[in-house]
Amino acid sequence: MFPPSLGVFENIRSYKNRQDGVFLRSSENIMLKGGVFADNQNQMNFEISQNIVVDGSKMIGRTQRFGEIVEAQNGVLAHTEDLVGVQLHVRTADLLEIGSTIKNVEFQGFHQDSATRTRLFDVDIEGTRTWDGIFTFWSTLENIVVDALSVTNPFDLKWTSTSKYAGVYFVDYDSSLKPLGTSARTSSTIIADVDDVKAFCNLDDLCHRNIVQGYWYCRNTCLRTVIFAVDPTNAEGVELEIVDTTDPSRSFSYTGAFASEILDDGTLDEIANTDWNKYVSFAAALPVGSYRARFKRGTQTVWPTFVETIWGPALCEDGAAPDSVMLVEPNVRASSCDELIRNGKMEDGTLLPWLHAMGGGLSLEASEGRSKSMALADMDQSLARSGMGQYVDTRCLSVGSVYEIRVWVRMEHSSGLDVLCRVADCGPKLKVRTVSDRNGLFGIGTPLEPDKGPLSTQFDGPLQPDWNLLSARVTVDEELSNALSVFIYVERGITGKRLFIDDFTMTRVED
Amino acid sequence: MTEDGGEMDNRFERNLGALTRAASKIVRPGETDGSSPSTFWISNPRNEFIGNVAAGSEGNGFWFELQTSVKSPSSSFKWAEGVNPRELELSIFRDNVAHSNWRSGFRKSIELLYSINQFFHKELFLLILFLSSTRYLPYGNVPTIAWSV
Repeated sequence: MFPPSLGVFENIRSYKNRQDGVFLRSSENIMLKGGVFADNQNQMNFEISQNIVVDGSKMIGRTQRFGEIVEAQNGVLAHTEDLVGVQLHVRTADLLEIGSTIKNVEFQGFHQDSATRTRLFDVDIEGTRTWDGIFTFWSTLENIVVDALSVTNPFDLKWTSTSKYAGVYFVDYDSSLKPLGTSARTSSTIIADVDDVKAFCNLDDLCHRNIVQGYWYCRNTCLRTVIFAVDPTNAEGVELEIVDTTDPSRSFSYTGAFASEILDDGTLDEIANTDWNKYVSFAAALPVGSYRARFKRGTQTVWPTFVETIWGPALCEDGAAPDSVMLVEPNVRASSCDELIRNGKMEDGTLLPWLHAMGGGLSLEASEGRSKSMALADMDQSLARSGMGQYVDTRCLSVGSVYEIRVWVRMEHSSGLDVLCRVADCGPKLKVRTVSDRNGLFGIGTPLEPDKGPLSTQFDGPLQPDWNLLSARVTVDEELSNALSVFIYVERGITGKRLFIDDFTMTRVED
Repeated sequence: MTEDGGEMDNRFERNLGALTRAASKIVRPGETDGSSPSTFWISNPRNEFIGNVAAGSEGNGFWFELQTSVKSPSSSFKWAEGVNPRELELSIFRDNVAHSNWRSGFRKSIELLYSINQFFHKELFLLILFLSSTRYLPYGNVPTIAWSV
């Protein structure tokens, strides 16, 4: 935990440094109060940080004195490629926190010809990583004063047209950077020149396009981002469609993002990518209004097993309110809820829809199943709390429904005489993880509640070296019914031996 | 610098540190002295830094490198139990100046690398300190220790 109160760097001066005047990484609750930052490549640089406040500072890209000194010494001028006021990055550590608040700041000496690329604010897209595919370094600007000779374009957002980040925008809280000759009553927003952010902005009446720098300046516009995180094993070909209900001609279909983990050799990290906390996420930046949202595959409305909704912080007034988006949950046939586990016999020839609790990797093993068929196995055996499971369709979990869960488990052993587990609570267990409220959490994929506890009571005696049946009967209560996502899994309990599972079912037995 | 992360409630005032150089030889694996020397290397934020100047470092001028616990040998003290420098609030940090450093003037980051106090490698740097009303009490109950050069 970071300290809750602001740590204040007061009236510091930082100049002629080769890289950053000040560099904050993995930091939170820091205020830079006053101070002067000059002749650095980046006057300030904030990376994976949040709640950074800059108040009353002065930034000078290139001072006349610095140039004179270099010339007098026949030196080589630094920072001729990039000269940046504030270097921002794409994400905060916590989805719900504000990246930076920059106010009462004066910029000087950022002349167009000072460097190849001169910007007041820049965004580092951090290589090829997409994180959650969503821009979350939400920031506000206020009372920004720029001298007449400095570049007038505060941002360079050309990179957004080729990046996978959704929802890139910055709030100009008092519209102090509005284009010359225009007026604004309220907050304005600088948005990337890409379709997902432009979708619901009034481009014709309120926005000025900067083609060269890749952004629009939208006066009197306030956006707020809503994120929908869904089951990654059930999102293939799925789009999120949002329609403005007051003007149904305004709509947009968003594609989801999955933060694939890549190994050093460039191949997909199959272990990390089957982690239960890696969702497919859809992000929409919306102004105040009324919207209807649905997931669709082609034209058909679908339900990607579960939907967790996360609202970003309200950076300004008149952004969309949490109750202004109505998400359509298509009806589900009663028969579809008779059996909730998909591919429970592991015979579909795919790992879908299985995921690994704690991120240990999965594999399908031929001839290891109960009838010498396929079985599901985990690749990492080091964590007792890890396991294998899948998300179940939240629409089926109506209060009072009763389900019987059965799964066969086997621990790999070297001989039939192995005693794997003598006490009742040390072996594999059936468990469920629910998430009931996403807002207030540390990023996508972290459960609010701890595990509900084992559903099954393990084994009466020692775990047998061959197949063992785990079973539990669950009556859906309010908590389970209202959960945003429900993950049913087998927790391994024992480390150091490979766990196989087969014939996994969750069958409705009565209402 | 503060070494173990348990040094608290000291005031560093009006010191000048200049031309801090990287170590040419690393004593232990994981040390950052060879790549990221810093003139003011701060491992515990609960200290006061007022009016100091860091100039011409091969790395950073001021670097807050905060760990989750106090390191040895201070960690053997009773008072060090449970002290997490990352969770401590920043004391006064005012009117400090950093210039002409190869990397950043001021840097605050969470690094997992182990570091060692480059100030103790006399042969590896040139340090000019003007001590002015400075108290440096790394263990609280130890009499004033002046930095030597």
